[in-house]
Amino acid sequence: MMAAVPDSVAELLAASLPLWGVSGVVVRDAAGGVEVTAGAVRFSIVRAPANLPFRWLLVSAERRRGVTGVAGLLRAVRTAVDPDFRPLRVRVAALPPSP
Amino acid sequence: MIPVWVLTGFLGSGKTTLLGRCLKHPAFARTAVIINEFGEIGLDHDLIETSEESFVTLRTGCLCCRVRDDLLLTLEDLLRRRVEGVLAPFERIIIETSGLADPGPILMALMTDQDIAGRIALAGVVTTVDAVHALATLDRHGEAIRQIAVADRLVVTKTDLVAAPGEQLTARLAALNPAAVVIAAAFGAVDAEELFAGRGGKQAADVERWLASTPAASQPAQPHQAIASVALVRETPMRAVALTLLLECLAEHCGSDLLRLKGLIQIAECPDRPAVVHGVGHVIEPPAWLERWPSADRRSRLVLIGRKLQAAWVEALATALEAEVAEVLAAGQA
Repeated sequence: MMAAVPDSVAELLAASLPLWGVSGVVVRDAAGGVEVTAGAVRFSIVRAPANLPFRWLLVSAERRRGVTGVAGLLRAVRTAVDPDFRPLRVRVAALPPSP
Repeated sequence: MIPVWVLTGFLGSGKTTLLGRCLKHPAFARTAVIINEFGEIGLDHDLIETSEESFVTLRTGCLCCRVRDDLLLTLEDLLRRRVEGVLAPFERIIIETSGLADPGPILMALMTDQDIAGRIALAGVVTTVDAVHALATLDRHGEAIRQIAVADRLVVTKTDLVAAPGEQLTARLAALNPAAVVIAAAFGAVDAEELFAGRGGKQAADVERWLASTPAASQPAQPHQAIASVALVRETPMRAVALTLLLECLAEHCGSDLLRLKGLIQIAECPDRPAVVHGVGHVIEPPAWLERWPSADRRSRLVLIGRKLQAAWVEALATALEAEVAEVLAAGQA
C-alpha cells in the first residue's frame, strides 16, 4: 500500500490556491491522496511507488506526471491550475554546507 | 566591494536636502553621488554644494525605467574612472532616485548585473518620508508605498513643521514596513554617518536590527494598502537544503509580489554561525555565512514584505519542505 500524502503537503496545497488567485478545492481522498479541483481541471496527487524516481504523481484522466519533491509539486500543480503562471527558471544557489 | 546606498522618497520629501547635509559631513568626502532627475531641466544637483567630480546627474528619465541604459552604465563608468585614477578613490556610492521611481528594478539591477557584480554591494535603502504630506501621498501614489516598503531606514523629514510625526503616520509606516529603522529629521539634520553606516545588508548587526524591529507576528495588509509583512520564526535549526528550497519557492510563487526579504537562519549543519538571506523581488542572493550570531537570540527569523503575501502559506511551505527534507534524510540513514 502506498504511503499517504502527508498533512503538511495537503495543507500547503490548500493554502496555495488562494495565494495564486485560483478558485478551487483541495480534499483528501479515501486512499490518503489529495484531490485538486479548479474549474474544469481535476487531478489527484499520490505518493509515487518506490520503484519510480519520483516522490509524487499527479494523476489526471489524461496523464500521469511524476515530480521529485514539494517544490516541483507546487510548480506542477500551479502549472495545471493557473494558465498565467510561468515557472521561474532562476535557481537560488545552495548554501555551502559549512562556512 | 564598494557599498552602494539607494536614497529614495517621493517628490518633495526632502531627499536632496538630506543628501546635501550628508555630503557636507567630513566622513562623506569620498562619496560618489548619482542623482536621477526626472525632466528636461535638472535642478537637484544645483542644490547640492560639492566640489567632487564623482557627481553624476542623470536627466534622461526615471531611473527605474532606464536601469540598463543609464544607471548601470554610469556605475560602470564611475568604477572605471576610479580604477584609472581619474576620480578620487571614493569609498561609497549614493544613488538618489527620482521621486517617482519604483526602487525595485534599481535594487534588482544592483544585485544581479554581471558587469558590476563583485565590485559593488547594495548596502541598503534610505527612504525619506514627508511628515506633513506623507499620508495623503500614500493614499494616492503606489510608488510612495513601494519606496517605503523596501527601505532599511526611513527618515521622516520636515518634522520641524509638525509637532510630531503623528500616530497615524507612525502606524502607517509600521504597517508598510515594520522592519525599517525610523529616524526623525528636522531641516535634513540627521546623523549622516549613522544613516549610511555599514557595508551592506549582510552585516550581522544590520540584519539583526532589521529583524529586531519586526513584530514577531505577521502584519496583515491594511484595508487601504495591499502590502503586508510576513514573519517566519523557527525555534529549531533548518537544514541548508530546506532553506534553499524555501527561497526558490518564495521567488517562484511570490516573486513579483515580493518587495523585500531578509533573514537570519540557524542552519542545522552549522548552528554556531548564522546564514543571512537577502532578496528584492524575485532576486534572492545566495545565502551567506556570518562570522557569529549578533545576539543571544539564535532562532531563525525570516521577514518578507510584499503584496498579497499570506502568512499561512509561508508557514505551510516551510513546514512541508522541512518535513520532506527530514524524511529523505531519515530514509538515507535507515
